[in-house]
Amino acid sequence: MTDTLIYKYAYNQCTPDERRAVRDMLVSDFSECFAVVGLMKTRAVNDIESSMLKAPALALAVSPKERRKTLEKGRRGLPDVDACKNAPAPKALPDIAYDEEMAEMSEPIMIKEQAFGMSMYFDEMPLQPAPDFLGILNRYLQSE
Amino acid sequence: MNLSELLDNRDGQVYRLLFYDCRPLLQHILANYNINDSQREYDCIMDFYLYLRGDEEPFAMLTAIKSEKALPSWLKTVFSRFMARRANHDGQTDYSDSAFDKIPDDEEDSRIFTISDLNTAITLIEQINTSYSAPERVIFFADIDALASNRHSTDEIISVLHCTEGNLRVMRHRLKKRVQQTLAKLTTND
Repeated sequence: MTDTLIYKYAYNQCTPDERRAVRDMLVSDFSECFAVVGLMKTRAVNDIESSMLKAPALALAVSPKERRKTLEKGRRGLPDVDACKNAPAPKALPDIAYDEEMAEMSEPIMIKEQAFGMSMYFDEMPLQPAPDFLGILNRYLQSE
Repeated sequence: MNLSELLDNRDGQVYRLLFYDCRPLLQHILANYNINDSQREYDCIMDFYLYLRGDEEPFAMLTAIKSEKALPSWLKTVFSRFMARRANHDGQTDYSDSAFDKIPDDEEDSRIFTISDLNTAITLIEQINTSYSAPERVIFFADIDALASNRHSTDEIISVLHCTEGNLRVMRHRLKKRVQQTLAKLTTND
């Protein structure tokens, strides 16, 4: 249950009550803050790695004539467009984060806890005392 | 969902569209401006990304697009226009160390705010997770995650964002300023 709630929290899918519950839990058991940060990072990376195009290779359509023209002007290092055209499309990633971004509007979701392997993820997170978490944030913000 | 909402809610996918899927197309246009090195190239495309996120005009044009196949040609047109306007203003980022040192700090926010309690820290992280752009979120959370486990995050971030170390250095510096501003607002509200 806890893992599911933290997952929904990181993916902005909590109801206001669930959000309060997670916040209370984080304040009382601050070691989970690192797990939340890890999930938020995963969400951000997945967000960038999922394409809005069904066939991204279509977007690479620069005509050979145009390409030759560019190369003649001295352009170096242009990726091999023809090779890119034949590249396999990236796997579609499940997009459960954005369809209903606002917590109030989100549909209840069913998560198979085992399926996400979250228990193992949290078991592996190092336990850190709260001052360390605040210390890390402060150190990061103050560093050049 | 129209594409305007799509830009609002899926800024990571727009980032991917520009920096992964359509990058060769944009590189082709950049070559016309003799922008051939990856650092300046990233800088131009990042400016365009921010323009798309922040300007009303391209939103209206985006909503008129009916099919995915039209997206690259739309992108080509809008990016060409953007670059023409940019060239007129000679706008570009200088990545030299001396220029980096000169990035002006906002005087109002020059004070360094620190986080003294867990509630404020959690609220700050929530705000970053819900309102910051995808590349900003990648940098912030990867950095904190790496600091927590005594790792370096630079290589990981560069591979996700497809940027150079110089690009990352500038973005990280600006991000920290922005987080400080968010924190200042939180602290003031308290």
